[in-house]
Amino acid sequence: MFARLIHRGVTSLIVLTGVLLIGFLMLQVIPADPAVAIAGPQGTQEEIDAIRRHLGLDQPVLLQFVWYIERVLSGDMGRSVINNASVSAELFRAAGPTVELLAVAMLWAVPTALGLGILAALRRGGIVDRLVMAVSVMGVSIPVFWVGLLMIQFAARTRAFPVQGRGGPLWTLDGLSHIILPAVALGLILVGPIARMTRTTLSESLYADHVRTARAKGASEARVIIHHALRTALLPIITLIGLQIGTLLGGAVVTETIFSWPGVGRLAVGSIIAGDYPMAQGAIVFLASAFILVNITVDIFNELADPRIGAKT
Amino acid sequence: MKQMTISKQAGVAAPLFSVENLSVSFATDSGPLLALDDVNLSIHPGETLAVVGESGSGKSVLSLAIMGLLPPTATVKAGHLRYDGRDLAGLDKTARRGMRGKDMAMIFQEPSTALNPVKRIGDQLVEAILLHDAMPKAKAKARAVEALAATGIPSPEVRARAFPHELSGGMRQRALIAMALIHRPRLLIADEPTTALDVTVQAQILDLIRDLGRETGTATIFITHDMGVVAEMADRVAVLYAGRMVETARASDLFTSPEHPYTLGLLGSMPQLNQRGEPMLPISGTVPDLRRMPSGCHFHPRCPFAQERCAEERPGLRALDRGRRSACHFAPLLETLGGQA
Amino acid sequence: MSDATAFAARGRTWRRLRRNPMMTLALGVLMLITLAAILAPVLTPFDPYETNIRARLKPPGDGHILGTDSQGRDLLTRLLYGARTTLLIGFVGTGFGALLGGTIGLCAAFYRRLDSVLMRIIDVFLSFPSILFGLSLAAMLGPGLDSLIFAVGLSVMPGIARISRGAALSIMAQDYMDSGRAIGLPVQRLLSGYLLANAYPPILTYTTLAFGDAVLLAATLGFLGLGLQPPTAELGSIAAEGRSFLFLAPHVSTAASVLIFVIVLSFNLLGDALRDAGDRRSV
Repeated sequence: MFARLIHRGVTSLIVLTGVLLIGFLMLQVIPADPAVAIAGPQGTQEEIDAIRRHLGLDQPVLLQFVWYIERVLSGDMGRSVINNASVSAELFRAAGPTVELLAVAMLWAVPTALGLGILAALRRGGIVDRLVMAVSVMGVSIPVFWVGLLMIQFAARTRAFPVQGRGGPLWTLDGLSHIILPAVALGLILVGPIARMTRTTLSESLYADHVRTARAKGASEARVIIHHALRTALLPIITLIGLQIGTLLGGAVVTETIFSWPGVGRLAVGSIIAGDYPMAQGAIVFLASAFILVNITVDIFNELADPRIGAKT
Repeated sequence: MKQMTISKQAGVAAPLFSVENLSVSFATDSGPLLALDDVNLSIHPGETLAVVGESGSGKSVLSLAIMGLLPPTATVKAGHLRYDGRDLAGLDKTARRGMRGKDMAMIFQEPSTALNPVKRIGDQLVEAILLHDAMPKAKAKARAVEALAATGIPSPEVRARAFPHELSGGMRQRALIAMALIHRPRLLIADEPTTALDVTVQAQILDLIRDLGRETGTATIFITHDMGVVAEMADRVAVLYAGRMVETARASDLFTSPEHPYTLGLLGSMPQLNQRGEPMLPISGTVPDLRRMPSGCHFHPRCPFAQERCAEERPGLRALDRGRRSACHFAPLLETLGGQA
Repeated sequence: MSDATAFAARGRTWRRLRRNPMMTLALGVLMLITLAAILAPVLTPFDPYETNIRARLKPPGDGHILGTDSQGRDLLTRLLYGARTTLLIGFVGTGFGALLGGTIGLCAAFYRRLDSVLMRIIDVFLSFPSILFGLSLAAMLGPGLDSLIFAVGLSVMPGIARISRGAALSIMAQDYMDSGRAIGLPVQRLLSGYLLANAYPPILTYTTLAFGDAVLLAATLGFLGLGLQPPTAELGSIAAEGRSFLFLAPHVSTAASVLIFVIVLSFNLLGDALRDAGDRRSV
């Protein structure tokens, strides 16, 4: 099991380096020369050359890449070309709201999906079952931005919730009322796939041999479902939730933009459109790294939940 | 009349458990299917009753029906289950559940899948204990280890912390037996408990079930297709064919003079003891499809003695001497068919 | 599986498919939309780019079936041309992804030594949020058609690579691959004439299914402003344009969103039907 975790860690490290490499190359490929940008429109060729030497831009690309990694690791991701703000400081400020949004979205969506999936599995062919199946196909087909737009229209008409920005910390009424719409819109992406997976795995495991053993022991039906059937069905569901985090992160980019939520996704989109390359690159590298870290975490979680994984390899 | 025969063969004591006129049908895509058709059984304390039949005879359905674990596609169409004089049909779900694991327990066929793969063996035993006995967890743990030790599992403390996949098949079956017997149930159902195991392990497991059963005074319904196992374990035998009971007798009588042609075939198919492999069936043909059951006697298409009457008239289970009963028009076979057999 | 049984299996799949009314509906809707998009210049009398300030944000009816947008252009015309663009991006992007993924998959199956390395890389791509591809490419190449197509291609590529590898592996086990090798056929002949020629059906099926995701990604990137820039008609950017007039004229973004939804939903229904009808394990 340890060997597997180490293996997984090494692979992730390689992928992270790959992400950094792509981030680094992103700045190499772009048409704008940073030295020219810093020197400004009045900069002379000598000034530009001096800045170039100062930034190490005359050195071999590989060396520049190593420096780049060093800088990123020490928290220096450059400065915005628009307002000269430190990229890492901006990212740090935006990370909180993004994590907050993802967490609240999952907090309502995962239990809802599990509940729907369980109901569907217990009453195969019933109303909930059909609803879950329909919602899950629609959920993966509906553009996230449309859900957002519909919600904004609804909220504006009823004046029930604010539709723009973040109101403050979650525990304040203002903070809570601001997060509801984006979190609902974002969470909807998850409900279909997770409910569907729960339905499938649970309806198989409800009649598995070991579940019958639990019934033969005299366990109550609720205990049988929760402790035995769901417990084993949970493994593929956890894996799926892990995989869906990527989709969720992608969805966050859209919901943040629509609801002007001050997170990393909106920062990324905004800076790309504004041509703020260091900021865009920083945000993308940040999102990709966060995604990889979350994936490792899910893997470890899975490893702990299923004693068999360690035994198989 | 029926009650008379039962009490006659049992001497004076009342049966611990009886199945009366049980019929179970399954809903399938191609219509309902009668898996059990008017089955009667009874078992006394300390007795081992073997239920024998090929796959598809309904023997597993019978065990699930007794436990109250039939899948939702199955319906009990008729009949009663009587435990210690009480009609189980009169009990609600909760009361019925309270009996499972405590009054009646079951050992399953596949030890590899019958244990929860993600829970430690000890925890699964502890769960079984706490479901019916309130006690501190530490005490339950100690009892679980004791129960494992009683089944002859070496270093039971270590095994209790293991996950099912870390144990061998025989070891898992021992754990399942420990779990089934933990509350000293008065009725134990063993559904082909050795089929999935190696021959050497089979013998050990059979000994274990018999010894522990004897120790606790448990009545055991032993479900199997293996006549060798029957010879080893059973006091009495009930033979099922295509959902109907075709013969019941004391084990010694059944082996010396079977009273149904199907039993005759089964005995002919008994492999040499300790010889591996599937039992060979000298009975020609296969078990009929439950959806297209032959008329009259279900066995007649495969029966070497079949006559016209067998295709038309369903034979009832008739009482013969010494508590034997047979559902063959020609029982007792020796007198009726004489030289033919 | 021999050719005869494979053929019979395909016939069975097709019969089961035809019995599924959802699938028939989805297929019909898709054909209708595609046809309308292709024939857009013939179907509508309006110009998708000619603005008319006096006819801004007209509600549906009165000469314009779906009303007009913020520039006074006929919305239905914009949608038809938009569907044309969006479907085209999906088509070219998926094609690019299929080419890339198919090549990788076949190579992984053919050159067993490359297999584990290639598949490790594919796994990474597979789990990556596809919007991040869009963001990165838009950042590198600037928002526009080429970054959109690359992004769509990269997002469908890993799935296609996996399917191709699986399909090719089962073909590699067939006798005719060995006999082809035995008679000394050159590698490229083995790859294209033998491997691809026999492994393509599941690859083609999966590629069709990936189309729905491709369209959704293209439209989402368009909505975010990372795709084609105005005034080009593209469904995602039409929805984004309408966003500024969400309360004044909700029909603009709603109509575009609904069209995207219907296209993607139809593809997904088609995919589910194909999965149900065929062997579950093969798709």
